[in-house]
Amino acid sequence: MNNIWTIIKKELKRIFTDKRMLASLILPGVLIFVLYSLMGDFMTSSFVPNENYEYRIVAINEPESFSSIHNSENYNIKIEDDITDVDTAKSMLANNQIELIIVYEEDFENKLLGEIKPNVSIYYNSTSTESTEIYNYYLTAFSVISVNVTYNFYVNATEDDFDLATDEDTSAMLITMLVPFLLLVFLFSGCMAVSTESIAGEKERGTIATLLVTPVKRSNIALGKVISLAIASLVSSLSSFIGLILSIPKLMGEVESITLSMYNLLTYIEILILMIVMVLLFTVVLSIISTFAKSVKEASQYSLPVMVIVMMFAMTSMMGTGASNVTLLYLIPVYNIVQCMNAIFSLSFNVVNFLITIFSNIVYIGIGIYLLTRMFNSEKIMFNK
Amino acid sequence: MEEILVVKNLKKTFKLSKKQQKIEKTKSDIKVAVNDLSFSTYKGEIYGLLGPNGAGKTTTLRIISTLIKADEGDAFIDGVSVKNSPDIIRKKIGFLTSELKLEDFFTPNYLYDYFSELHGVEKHTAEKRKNELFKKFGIDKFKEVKIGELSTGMKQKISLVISLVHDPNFIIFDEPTNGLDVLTAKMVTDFLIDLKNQGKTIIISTHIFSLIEKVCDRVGIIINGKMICSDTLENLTADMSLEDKFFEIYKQEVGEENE
Repeated sequence: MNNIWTIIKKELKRIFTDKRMLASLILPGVLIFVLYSLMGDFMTSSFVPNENYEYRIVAINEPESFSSIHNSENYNIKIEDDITDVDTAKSMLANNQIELIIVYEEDFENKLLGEIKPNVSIYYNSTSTESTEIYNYYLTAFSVISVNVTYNFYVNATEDDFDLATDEDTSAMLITMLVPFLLLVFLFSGCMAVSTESIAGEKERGTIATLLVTPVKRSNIALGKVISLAIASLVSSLSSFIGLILSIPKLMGEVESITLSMYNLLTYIEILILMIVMVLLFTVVLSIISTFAKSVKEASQYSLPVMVIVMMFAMTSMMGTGASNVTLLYLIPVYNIVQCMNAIFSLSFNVVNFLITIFSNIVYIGIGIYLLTRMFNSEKIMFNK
Repeated sequence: MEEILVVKNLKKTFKLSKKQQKIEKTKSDIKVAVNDLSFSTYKGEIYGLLGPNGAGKTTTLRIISTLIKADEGDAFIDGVSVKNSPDIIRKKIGFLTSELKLEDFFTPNYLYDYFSELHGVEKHTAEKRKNELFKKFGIDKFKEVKIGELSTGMKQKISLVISLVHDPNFIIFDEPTNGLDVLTAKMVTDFLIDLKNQGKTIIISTHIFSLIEKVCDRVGIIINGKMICSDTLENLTADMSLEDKFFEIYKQEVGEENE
């Protein structure tokens, strides 16, 4: 028993007195807190009505006594009076020109007093966050009124399809929510697998000295490393991308409406450009970490917090809120790529934001390579045993 | 005799972290690794830097091999300044260390070609030299076998060979037999003598007396970053063994410092 205790003490001393090991034990808790808090904030914000947004609603055959249902303290509602044709309204809803259509049965008020309950049909577009929000609001409002004895009616009781989102829109939304997140995680993992070993491994094995005493310029050594790592990471990420795209229909189960027909060759080229930039950025950042670390193990430990930051940015695509319209935000590395992918997949590509993303990241990559070269010239970093 | 390496008043300091200060038991945040160090080596000789661990041997060799820069002073190889022309120096020297562990994944053949290319050796010349060296060290049978599958001795031979792909005339070898088994250590020792016989100039660092006695022509004793004496092995061991001589000097030096 004494021996067991001796071994336990020794192992615990090793774990709890090694700052790095201790950090890796505590870090998951901190990261879970940060990640879940952020997720919570995002989700809460998606349920809170957007006061600045004007919700455009078409109400057809609406009795006067029901007009008060549009008086909301939380939503800024505008009734589009000039649209009276259901088909026109449906087409507008499918194209996100309006957020909701409410169609009352003809002679609705009189039918309320009859034996057969009348029906109210509420149409929405599930690919629009605003449309879904306002749909839920009206659904609740009508449900509350319909249980009243005086106003007894049905809501969406027919076999009609009330979600007017097209197959393309639904597919785009699902792909936008899933692909950027998965792609970034795969990209980062691919880069991490090769980058940490390449430089920190050479330092650990002592081969870096043999390399540094060759007549090759240190900037060339650094560049050679980054480019080769980027190529390897790109192959890994391309394989992930193809696998992901091919598996999406299966991932969505038996949903027949999933289609990739809304994307053309240009879409894939745009995504490929973003992936190349992203891989280069990840490779440079991970190479810097790998150069700074004394061993492969240390490089992996240092890479972990960076991975969490990347995941946090990647998660912004999963909120279904669409790509950001604030141009300045496209200067934030990683986040800008997520937003661009978001825009491309949700068919709202913006060329200015795309170019800002590409050029800003090229600048960051350049700065990173410069830093890496400086690090290769620093004896403190290269021989920090 | 023709001087190949001239080391003049080298000084190198390192900043100590608080943790290192604790280990070194010092309040100063600066460690003087090499202090006003001067010596020279002649063409075709093996010069040994002898000293205890932490004396400054590796730092000196790293400065000479352009891996790190001296704070003060300079070293010259064939009259070329290490400080001002590191690119030229790198073409002239071969740097070896027993700490070198080659990547398991590659074959000796591939690694030899890789380093030849980095050193700018012409393909034809590289191929000829590779065949000679591989044959000499018995590597030719294993040239397509991955490093990871080879014995420690064979790995060490390959390390030596790939460090000399460009056939340098000046060779720096840090702790050549440190941590090696007797057979591999013997192979390295024989290799050093062989290189000397080829007319190469070699500088080694070690704390192993027998190695110095076996291969070196001249010896420099370094203690606490200072060159205490630099003389021929013959003169140093005229009246006592190298080991006794070293401890006599060491006692004098450390005793003086403690006083």
